[in-house]
Amino acid sequence: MTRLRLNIWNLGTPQDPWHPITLGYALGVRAMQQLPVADPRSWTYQSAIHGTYLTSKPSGAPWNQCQHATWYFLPWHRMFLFQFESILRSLLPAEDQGSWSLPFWDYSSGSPGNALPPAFRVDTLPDSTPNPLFVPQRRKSVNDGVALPDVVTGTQQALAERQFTSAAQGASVGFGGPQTGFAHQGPAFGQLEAQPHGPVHVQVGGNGGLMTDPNTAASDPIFWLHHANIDRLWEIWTIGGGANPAGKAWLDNAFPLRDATGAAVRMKPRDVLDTVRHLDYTYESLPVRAGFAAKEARVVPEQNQPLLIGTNDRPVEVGRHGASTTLAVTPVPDVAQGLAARSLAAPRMYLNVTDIEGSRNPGVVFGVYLNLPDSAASPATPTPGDPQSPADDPDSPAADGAAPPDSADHLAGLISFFGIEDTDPATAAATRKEPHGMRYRFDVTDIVDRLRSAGHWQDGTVRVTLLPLAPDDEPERLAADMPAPVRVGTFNLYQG
Amino acid sequence: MSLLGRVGAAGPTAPRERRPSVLARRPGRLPIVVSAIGWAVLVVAQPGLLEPWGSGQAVSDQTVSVHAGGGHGSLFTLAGIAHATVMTVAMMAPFALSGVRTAAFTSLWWRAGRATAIFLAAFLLTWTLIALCLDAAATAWTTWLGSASTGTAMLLGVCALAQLDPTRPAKVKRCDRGMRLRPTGSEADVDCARFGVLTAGRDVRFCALPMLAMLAADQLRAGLLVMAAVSALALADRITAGRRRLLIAAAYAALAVALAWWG
Repeated sequence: MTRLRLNIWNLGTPQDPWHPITLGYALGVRAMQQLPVADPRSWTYQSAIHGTYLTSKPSGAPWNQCQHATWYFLPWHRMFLFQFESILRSLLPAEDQGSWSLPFWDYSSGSPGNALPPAFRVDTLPDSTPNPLFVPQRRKSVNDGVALPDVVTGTQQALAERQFTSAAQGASVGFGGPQTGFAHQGPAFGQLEAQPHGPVHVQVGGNGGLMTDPNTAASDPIFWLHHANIDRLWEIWTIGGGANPAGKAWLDNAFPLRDATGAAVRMKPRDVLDTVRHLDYTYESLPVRAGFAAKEARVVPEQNQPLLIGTNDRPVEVGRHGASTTLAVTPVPDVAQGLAARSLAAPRMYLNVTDIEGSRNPGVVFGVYLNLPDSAASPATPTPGDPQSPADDPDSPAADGAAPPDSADHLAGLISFFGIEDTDPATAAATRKEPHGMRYRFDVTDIVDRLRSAGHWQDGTVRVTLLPLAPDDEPERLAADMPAPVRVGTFNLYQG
Repeated sequence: MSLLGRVGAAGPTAPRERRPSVLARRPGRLPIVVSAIGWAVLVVAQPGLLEPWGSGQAVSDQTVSVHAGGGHGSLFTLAGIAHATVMTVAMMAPFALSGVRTAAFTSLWWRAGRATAIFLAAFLLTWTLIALCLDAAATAWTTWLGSASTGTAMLLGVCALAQLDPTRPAKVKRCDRGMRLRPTGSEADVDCARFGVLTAGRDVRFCALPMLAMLAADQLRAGLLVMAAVSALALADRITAGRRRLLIAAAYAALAVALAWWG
């Protein structure tokens, strides 16, 4: 019988969250944590397959394998979760193994599911022993049960994406990510990875938390439920008509993992496309969505390589309070005129934020805003003791707070900088990776249309502002442990 | 429509009422066209056809005459330099494809053609300098051996061995790294040229050996065919990002054996 992965918020109650599935997960995590590191089934070993700063590894261990900012992001994590789930199940009492599956955390369906599940917030299990699902290295407000902001958990933009991948430079990279070979940290994030995946990681982890850094993220037990939800969203996209790549380059690239016995196995995307047939599981809730109508009206312009029409003139440093820059823009005259003459829709517009480098994630999810009014982005009262207070940084657009409520129409997308550590040569060398800048791409066509209609868009200059999405709720940790600002080299606006 | 776009100036402001150049959307056409012209010149100028670079006498394996004594012209003559330059352009221009695309698509549309041209010129100029050095080495090598075919076969054997490096795919991938180009003005031109030189420099590790073999093969009667085969294999290695390295190693080895046997 096909196993069913259940919504953690449907298991138990906030007062008594210890449903057998949840308790089984906690006991399984504890069992894995008690195994020696060299055991491929151990918690440390499995986490390290995703990423680790440990330099001494068991012989042949496939550590630091996670695939990010690449079209392997989704299939690799599906394989990884499948093997992890098998290992954890094998460590449960025999009578529980048949009924246990990894639950998922659906944070995108509003309250109460958008808060960290209660079982992950309490110190102890029902038998008063320490709860392995609770880790203090998370954002305090999240561990206190404060809901994640809706804008962080939104899935509409990702699920509206028609293509799994796209090769056009400057344009959207698709739902799943750009075409690459093995890529521990590839060139650009696919839509689902850009949101909600990365922002949820950073919103949960905060400044210095486990979830904020790919090299520690899998050590937080909530990681696996977060990724079960990402896997579920991929399944929803597929059921809704999304087509996965059909080429051998994607289907047949094999990745090393460890199975329930600890033995080495290799899995390919081809092996995990059908969760029921290949992996014997499905999800409790797979809502059918509206489809791709939102983007179909503008398919024709995507056939062209977009052209760069605007860019910034110098790099920008982004502290925890954000930053802003101005792009000098020269639209392509014949593109708009030609399309208008053929009664087609206006060309698509894309914002690329590239050449991003930093040694540590600021632990803040930023909104990327176009032409935010000065009143919404003006510096506010400085925060005492904060070395990156706007009082010390005239380019910083905000002080202690998030973007104001009237900024939603200007929001192009989110930047979480998840994986920024691997852009630092020292960190990359320690984890045996190739350092390179990080990149985000946003389809801003609809926002530009909206701003143009509202009189907030003039060809010539565009102001791009990065603002924290939520008020800073970690001032104490902030003052004691301030990460250096992230450097963003380029903001490029493409049309085509 | 201009092929290169606004080549005349690189001012800080964009022109008005202009259309994007062909290269703004299809920058890859430039290195392909340049390479095709290079090959056409090599074919037309093959000794015995138009004889533009020297005596045109048929060169045999045993006379390592081309570089050492006259053939296409000594390396240190204008004709020799021109010949090496055309060979470099023919073989290496396709390797600039990825960089050319990056230069064009990360430059503002109204100067994308210019960026493409500057990048490619810098890339090919750097490679021409490298090729002239390699040409001297190839000549010295085949002269010392006394047989161009044996020398070429041995170099192809080394090319095959180099393909066996298991870390090759990762290393090949690094050749296509981009860089931030400043948006306008002479600074943008300098960045494009620098990007071309850096890209050429990164390619040396993977293209120097095939280039050396190609230059050695230039002294053979069937040199052009060998050159074409070596160029195709080197390009295939790049396009497949080292994933077909064993297949390509076998092809290099087969070519080496064929040369040693029938050369």
